[in-house]
Amino acid sequence: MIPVFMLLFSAAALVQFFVSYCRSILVTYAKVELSPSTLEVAGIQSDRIPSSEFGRLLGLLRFAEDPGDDRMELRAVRLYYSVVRMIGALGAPFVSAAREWAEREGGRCAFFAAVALDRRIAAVTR
Amino acid sequence: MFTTFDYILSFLGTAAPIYIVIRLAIHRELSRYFAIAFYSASAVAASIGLFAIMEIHGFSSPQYLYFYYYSESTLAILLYFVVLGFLRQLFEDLGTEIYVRIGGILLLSATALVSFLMVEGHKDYMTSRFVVELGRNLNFLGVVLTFLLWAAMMKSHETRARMTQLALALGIYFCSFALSYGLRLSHPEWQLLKTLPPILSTWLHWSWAYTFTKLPEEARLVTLRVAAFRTR
Repeated sequence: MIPVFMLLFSAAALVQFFVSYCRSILVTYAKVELSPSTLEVAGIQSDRIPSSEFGRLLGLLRFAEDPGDDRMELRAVRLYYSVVRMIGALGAPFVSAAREWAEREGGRCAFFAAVALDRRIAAVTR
Repeated sequence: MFTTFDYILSFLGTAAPIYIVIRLAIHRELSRYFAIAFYSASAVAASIGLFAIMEIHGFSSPQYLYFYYYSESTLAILLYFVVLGFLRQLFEDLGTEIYVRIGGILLLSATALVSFLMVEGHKDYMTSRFVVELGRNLNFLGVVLTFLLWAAMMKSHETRARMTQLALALGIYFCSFALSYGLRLSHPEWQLLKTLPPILSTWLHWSWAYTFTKLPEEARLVTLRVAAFRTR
């Protein structure tokens, strides 16, 4: 009984810490304002980027010169996005809030990818 | 058999803590993050010791096994000091750090005593099941401690971004460690679980190194905005 409790508690705490860790990265990036050139290159209309744009923005990132200082963040956010999508897909049929949450968090991930692209474009044009 | 992957992991797992200690020393932050610096230095010493024992006695020797699990348990206990250091920083402003110190001393004494009794009782037949159980218990205590730290950070509306990321990385590490050890007890045949601990240790050091490099001490964020679950 106790080992099962320890496992469940550890698993629940892991979700809490992992989500919070990824959010702490996303929140840091959320303060950045995107430049007009990045909005134009990425074909984005406003600062509110839909979750579905994440994959496309990651694709664009591959074409930009890699400064190498955001790889760890990118990996963490990519993993977080997969987890968010999975939770959204599993929870959406039962709880409508799950879909909204997944869309909001996915949007944050997409914004993070746009900021990473912005930094790379700025490094090239500087 | 020590594979190329193990060598690469050992190198990465040693380079990151060396970097942390040097960086903290250069930026004169050793006293502020003394527990992290001490843990990192101990991790480097443990890696060198492990490598020396492997060279002398071999990878499959009981000496290697003993050193591996004892050093891992000692490092887990040293990580408690890291959590206590964060708690002390957190309660410094409130003037209640004396309670953290007393609580910390009691907790560490109790953990050391229980661990000593467990190890003493099994010293003649240190089975793999026992060392896995010890690792699970020590890391689970780490999970609880880090969870209390995180709850205290949210309650006190802590805004230091560095402390937040360092503590969260520690939480991920403890939880993953406790989970991998817990699952190893029920599924000893799962080989992946045996390779997880060194990967997690390396990840923790790289994550800390990254936080120290990227986030200045002055960086701030709203802890409540990053919490996955919170009470209103």
